[in-house]
Parts: sequence; C-alpha cells; structure tokens
Amino acid sequence: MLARNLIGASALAIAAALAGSAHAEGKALKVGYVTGLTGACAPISEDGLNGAKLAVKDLNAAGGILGRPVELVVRDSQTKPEEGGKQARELAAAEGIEMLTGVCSSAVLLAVNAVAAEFKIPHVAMIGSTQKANIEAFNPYFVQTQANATMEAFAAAEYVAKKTDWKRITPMGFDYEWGHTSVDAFTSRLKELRPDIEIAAPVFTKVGEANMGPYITAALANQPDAIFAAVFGGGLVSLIKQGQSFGMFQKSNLVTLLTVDTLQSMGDAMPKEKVYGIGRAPFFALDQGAELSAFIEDYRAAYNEYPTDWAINGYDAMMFYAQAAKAAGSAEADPVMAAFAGSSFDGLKAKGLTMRPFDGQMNAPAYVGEVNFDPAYPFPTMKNVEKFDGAALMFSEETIQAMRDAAK
Amino acid sequence: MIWVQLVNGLMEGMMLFLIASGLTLIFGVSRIVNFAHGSLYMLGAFLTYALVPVIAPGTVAGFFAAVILAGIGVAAIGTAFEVLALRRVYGADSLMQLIITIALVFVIRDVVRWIWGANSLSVPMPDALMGALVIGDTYFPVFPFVIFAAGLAVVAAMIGVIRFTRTGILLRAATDDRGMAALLGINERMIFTAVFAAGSFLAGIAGGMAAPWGDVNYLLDTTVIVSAFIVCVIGGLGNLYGALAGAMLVGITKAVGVLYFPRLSMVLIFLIMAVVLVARSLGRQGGPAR
Amino acid sequence: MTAAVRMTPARWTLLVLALIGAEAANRFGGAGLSLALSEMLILALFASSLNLLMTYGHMVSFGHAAYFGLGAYGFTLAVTRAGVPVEAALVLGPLVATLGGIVFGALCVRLTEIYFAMLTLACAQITYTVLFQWYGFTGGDTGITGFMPARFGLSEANFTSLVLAVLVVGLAILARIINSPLGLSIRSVGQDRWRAEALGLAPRRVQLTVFAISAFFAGVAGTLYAVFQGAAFPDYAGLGFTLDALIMVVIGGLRSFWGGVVGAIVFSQLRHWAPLVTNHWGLALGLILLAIVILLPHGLTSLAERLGLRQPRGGRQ
Repeated sequence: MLARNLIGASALAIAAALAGSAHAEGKALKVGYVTGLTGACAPISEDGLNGAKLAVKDLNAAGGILGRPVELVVRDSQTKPEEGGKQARELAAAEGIEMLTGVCSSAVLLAVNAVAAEFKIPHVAMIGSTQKANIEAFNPYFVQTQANATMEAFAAAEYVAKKTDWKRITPMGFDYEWGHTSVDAFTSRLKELRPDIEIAAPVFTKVGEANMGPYITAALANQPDAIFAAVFGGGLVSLIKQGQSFGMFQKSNLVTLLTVDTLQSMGDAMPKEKVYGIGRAPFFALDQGAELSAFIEDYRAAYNEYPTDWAINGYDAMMFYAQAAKAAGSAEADPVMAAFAGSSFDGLKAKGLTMRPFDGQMNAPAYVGEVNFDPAYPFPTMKNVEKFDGAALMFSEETIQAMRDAAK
Repeated sequence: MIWVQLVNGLMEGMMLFLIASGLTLIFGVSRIVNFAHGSLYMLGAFLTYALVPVIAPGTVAGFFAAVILAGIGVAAIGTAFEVLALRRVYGADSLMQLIITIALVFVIRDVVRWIWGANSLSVPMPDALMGALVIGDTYFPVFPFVIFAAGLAVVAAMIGVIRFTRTGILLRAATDDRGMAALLGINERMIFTAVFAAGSFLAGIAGGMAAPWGDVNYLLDTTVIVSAFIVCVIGGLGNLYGALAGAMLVGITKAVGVLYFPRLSMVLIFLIMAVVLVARSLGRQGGPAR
Repeated sequence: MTAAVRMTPARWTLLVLALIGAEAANRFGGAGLSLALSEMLILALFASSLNLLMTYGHMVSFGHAAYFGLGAYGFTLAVTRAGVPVEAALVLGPLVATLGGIVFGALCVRLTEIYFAMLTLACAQITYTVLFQWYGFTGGDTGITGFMPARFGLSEANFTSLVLAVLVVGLAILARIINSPLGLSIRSVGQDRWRAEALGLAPRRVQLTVFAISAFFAGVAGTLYAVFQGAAFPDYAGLGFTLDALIMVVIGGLRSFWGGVVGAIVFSQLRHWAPLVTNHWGLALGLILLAIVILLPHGLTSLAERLGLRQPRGGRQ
C-alpha cells in the first residue's frame, strides 16, 4: 500500500518533472545585458561584463538555472540613456529576456529601470549606483547589489571622522548628479559625526575634466587637511597626477573613489602616501576564501589581468540572481523578486548579504583604506582596509518614505 | 592664489592654442572644417604613450623625442587621409568635407579602443618636469611653464615659416585668394596636402605634450575638438594670432572663473564664444561677419 | 536656386509604395523592428526639419538638437511640473521649441556661414547645460523617467503607425511651405541674400521665420521622442543628436526635399544593425560613411539622378 503510493507519487513527480523540463529545458534563460561598451562607461563596463560572463560559464557548467542554460544578450548603451532605454525595451519586447542587468551610469540606469517596471522584469544593478532608483524612481522589480552612491559617501565620512587630527575638509566633485549626491551625503554625515570639523564650500568640475589645475588651486586655497573627491576615471587620474605638482600631497590628504581599474591606470604615478581610497569590491581586501581565489585565478586565466571591483560585482550580481531564481523555482518576475527578499547571499565581495524589498537595496559593504605598494602586485593596492557594513550605511525606511513623498 | 590661477590659465590657454593652431591653419588655407582634428590630437597622445617607455625613458630629451615622433606619425596618418579620402571631395559641398572628417573620427576612435583599450592610461612624466617652484607656501608647478615655452616655440616657428620662407609666401597667397594663386601656377593640391600634414603634426604634438599632465583615454577626441573650434572662432577662423588671443582669453577666464562663478565651468567657453560672436555682429551693423 | 517640391506620378507611386512597405514591415516584423522603425521615423522628421534650414535656407546649424530637446522637455515638464494633461502637453512641446527657435534664431541670423553655425552650437550647449544642471526643475543629468507610460501605452506597432502618420503630415506641411510664396522668399534668401534684399525682401526676417519653423518641427520630433522613450534626458539637446541629424541631411543629399528622410533611414538603420554584427561598429560605421561620401559626394538622393529617375539639377555652390 505504502509502496504503491510511493511509486505512484514518484511516478507523478517524474512525469511532472519531465513535463516541466520538456517545456523549459533547451530554452535558454536570456539575460538582457545593457551596458556602456563605448562612451564614458567603457573602461568599467567591459570589466563588469567579463565578470558576468565568468558567472554564466560557472552557472552553465553546473547545469544552468533551473536546468536551463543561461545566455547573456549583450547590447551597447553607448553610455547614453536614450540608447540604453531603447535597447532594454527592444530586448524586453522582442528577445524574450527574463532579467535585465549590466547597466552603468546613473542616467542609463534610470532609463533601463523604467523599462524594467514597464515590462515587469527583474532589474539587477551592478555598476550604476544612483540612489534615485531606490527612492523616487523606485519600482518593485529593482535590486541594487552594491552600496549606492549615498552609502559609499557615508562610508567615506565615517572613515574621515576617525582621523582626529583632520580639522578642515574641502569636498570636490564632478558637476553632475553622482558628484553632488556624494558630496552632499558626505558633508551631512561628517557634520553629524564631527561637529568640530570645518567643511569648506565644495569645488565642482565638469565631468572628466582633464586640466584639474584651477580646481586643485581652488580646493587647496582653504588649506584643508584632506580633500574628499567624488571623481573617478580619467578625471581622477588627472587630479592625482596634477595634484602632485601643486603640492597637494605635501599640504593635504585625498580621499576618493579608488577602484582597482583606477589603481591600475595610476601605476607608479600614484603618490606613496596620503591617498585614501573607497572601493566597492577590492579583491585584495576581501575575505580571502577558496571561492575568491578560484575566481581570481579563473579571471586571470581568462582575461590576463586581476579582476576589478566591477568584475567582482558583475559576477556577484549574476550569482545572486541565479540563487533567487533557484529558490523561487521559476524565472517568473514576482517569485524571483520574493526570493531576492527572502534569501541570504554569500558573494565574493561579502557573505550573508540580504536585499531589503522596501527599496531594493542590498546591504552591500563599502571598503575604505590607504594606498599601498605591495610587491605582490604590479600596481598600487590598499592597506588597512576597513569594511563598512552596508546595513549601517542605508537610509531607514522612514527616511526613504519621507524622501519619496518630498519628491512627488 | 590668483597668481597660481594665472599660471593655470596661461597653461590651459597655451594647450588650447597648440590644438587650435593646426585647425585654424587648415581652415585658413583649405576651408576644411576638420572635425577629426581632436582625433589626431588623441592619436598623438596614444603614440606618445607607446613611445615614451621606448625612447630614453625618464629623461626630458626622451620625452620630447617621443612627442615629436608621435607628431610625425600623426602627420603621416593625416596625410594619408588627405590624399586617399579628403582630396576626392574638394569639389563637393563643404559639408561633405565635414562629414568625411566625422567618419574619420569614428574610425580613429574605434581603432584606438581596439589597440589600447578603453581604460584611462597614464604617461609617466620625466621627474625633471614633475616638480614645482615653491615660493613661500605656494607651489608653482613646472610643467605649465614647459607647455608655455613649447607653445611659444610653435608660435615662433609658425610665424617664421609664414613670414620668411617661400612656403610661407605660397601659403599666404593661397589663403588670400585661392583662385588667383592657382592661376599663378601654384600647385594647390600640394599646398593643401602639406597644410593638412602640418596641421596634423601640430595636433599630434599637442596631444603628446598634454599626455603626461592628465590621463590618456579614447574619448579625448570630442573633449578637445569643440574647445579648439571655439578658440578658432573667437579669434576668427584662419587667423593664427586670433587663435592665440582666443585661447588665452578662454584659458584665463576659466581658471579665474573657478573662483568667482564655479557653476559655469561646463558652459563658460560657449558663453564666451556667444558673447564674442554677438558683439561682433552688433559691431558690424551693415553686414555679416565674414 | 533649390527647386520647389514637385510630385510626378512616378514619385507618388514610389511614395505610396514606400509607405505601404514601412507599414507592412511594422505590422509583420515584430516588436523589435517596430521600435527601431519608430525611432527612425522620428529622426526622419527631425532631420527633415534641419533639411528645411540647410537645403532651402542655406543655413548650417551645429545646434539643431536644442529644439529637439526643448520639444521633449517642454512636453515632459508640462506633464510633470505643471500637471498639464498629456494630450495638451503634446502641443506645448513644439511651442516651447518654437519659442526657443525665435529667441536663439534672432541672435544667430545676424551672422553667416561658419559663425552662424558656431553660434547655434553655443545656444544649443547653453540649453543642454541648463537642462543638465537645473536639478530642481529639469531633474538634471539623470533626466525625468517614469512620468507616463511609454508610447501612451500603445503597442509598438500602433505607435509606429502613429509616428508614420505624423511624419507624413509633417512632410506635407513642409512641402506646402516650400512651395508657398514664403518658401520662395526662403529659397531666394538662401540663394543670395543680397539680391533678395535688393528685391525688397528682409533677409533676416525671412531667415528667422525659417529658423522658427524648423525649430517647430524639431520640437514635434523631440516631443514624439519623449513619448517614445517615456523619458526625457539632457542628451536630447546634446551634440550627439545634432551631429546625427547633420550626417543624415548631408549624406541624404543637400539639394533634395527627401534628403533628410533618406539620410535618416540609411543612417539610423546602419547604426541599429552595425553593433549587432560587430563589436567594432564605430569602425564599420566610419568606413561606410567614408565610402558613401566618396562614392556619392552629392548625397544618396543623387543616386536617383544616376539611375535616371530624375533630371540632374545645377549644383549647390
């Protein structure tokens, strides 16, 4: 009796599994990957894509997601929001994608996010980090897998606040949304933590400014103990190189976004000290486990370079999605989103990460440390890196609600 | 601080002039609006990046040799473009010439990204040029003075050639009246090619000179070209001295402007041009600015 | 002088066939193709507005995207900031663009040739910067998203049909203008402003009129583009759109009413397909552009002459 029931039940289960897999097997799970392969985002977009490709390789080697092979459908947004929005819409309408990711740049992120909302497709952010997507432009299909711009600036403020001998700070930033948000968040958090610190009026430069001389001069005019600079990429390289000629590192310190790609770009031109970097996932400062070293090895074998923060975030974002889809038992948007909220994720950049459904924000950490020349690597790295827990950097739900109401 | 800002302004102005000089030269003689001038500048920066580690690295002489070689390389590429493509559309509408140079922008940008990747690269600066003169508490970086000197050398060389050589006489003749020059048996094609080569060389060395000061990346082309045009327009296209004055006006206004109207940095150069153009149009009620 | 627009029976046939072909592709080519067609048709209207300025007015603008952007933002801000119903806002977008065209045009028409072009560039960059930096009002560089369902919630194919209809009406109006007495003045001033002045025309006033009309149609295209995307970004007023339109008009053919449309079809299709074929689409696009310019230095519409479809006309000097 029992045996017959068992046999009957398992026969049913097998039949169901067969039916299910006959439907799903072979039909690839398409991931829409819209990223700035050309334009301002090109340097970091390629790294993110390389990381995501490795994740897909690993996933498919292990049988894919829910038995379905994963396929990246890559489109170049040219780092233009209208192009990114159009590409995402086309992928959603015509290519049958079931997830959107890869987006770099705040404006493109918001354009793609609107498409994700329109088609009800999970949108997993891995490079672009504007908190507008958490706040006024939030939709329930949004997941941010890294510290957003505000959280990163808060981490920098926490770090700076501990430097008790710093009494005067000048913020700098690129003159656009990310620069302003970062400077505002940094300033407000630092004021709370250290009311004694004098914060000068911020200096803004146009995005990607090559001749930083006038701005360095203006920033140093206040004789700050440190400059907080919300700049990146080529502009940051210019700032650091030209800063040395203006005595910036004799007179002051610099706290800025220093991802691995920038460390590589700077090379020997990086000052030996007085530079402090904020990282998103610096491979040399993460918890060194077997998975991370295997990833670094694979990555180096595949691309002949060390993985940057963007590559690690790309890998993590894909893996987080795979975990949620597996937990949901489906690639349907609503179950996947529920699974995102319900699960704890062990990524390369940190373990035990969770996503808060209220704003789609993962409690991803931010890393701040000082520049270091480690003979083990052919480029500068960072030492004494402090990991700031994401949960402590996130706005409370009440604050976000208030900001959403105010934006209406 | 205002003195340092003046140094910054002069440096930026001279950089702009180095870029604009070739552009205005080409326009003056051939009436070509060369949108690829920024791409040639970028190519000069990348070639310098490739050459610096090879030629006596770390020395000042090695750096200048690399820059000049890069300039020659860019001149070769510019000449090839002029002979193979541009020459074929001299008879067509001038806008066709503009579009063909835009096509070159697409090509150079993609090839550069292919060879050197999209990441920002950093050209090491020779130690001797890296430092600063410290007066009291103020640092006056050395490199801007080097740029300034290089710019003056270019001005002197250009004036020398234009004023005192046979080539210069031909150039002036062709600039003033192309038809008449051709009637007098001056080989217009040769002149156009030579001018395009010279302009490309100037773009190449401008890119090379600037390379160690900032970063080198594959988007430098558009960053540079618009400012270069504006400088030429402020000074009057084809007018070398005008370009120098325009470049200095823009450079110094920008550096000093940081202190007084910081939010205008994105748009300042356009405002200056608009004011100059509108003022010029008001100044010539009777006719258009030509 | 650039000729008026004349429709022969052969041309009518060609036009009707093209329209049927476009609508068929739209209906049977799938949603992806419909989206690509919408964008192409919007850009065709935008390029045609620039073509009016360049081919008939002989004014080269390096800043035409300003009016595309003003149209998009006029519409978007009316909906988001002023609470205007979407249908009414559709009218406001082009009006804002026209207003911008009148203000900037009044400055620009005082100049000629490259100086005119550079002043239009300055005006466009100032517009772009205002859109980019005025966070409280325009949303700044991250633009305005999610304020309306993209394409009014129409299906991809239905929206494309709508855009096609707007393009046809727009072109019909443009053709009427060119063939009208006003169009004759525009063409005479474009040909030789001194002679036109001697004939009693006020060249600047005519030029300002054509500038404003051109800005209006650019504004219609910009408004449609904001609807198409369901979003507005400062990029719409940026150098990228200006150059795209310029390339379209020039490779399309500078002496033809159809130059903008033909250029838009060719260039936007190239740009759509090249990245799907190669990672080095910039190189491919550049080489194709080079080839087009070298092989057809009078533009794609001159192919018609080469194929004997129409009589050659005197060149534009």
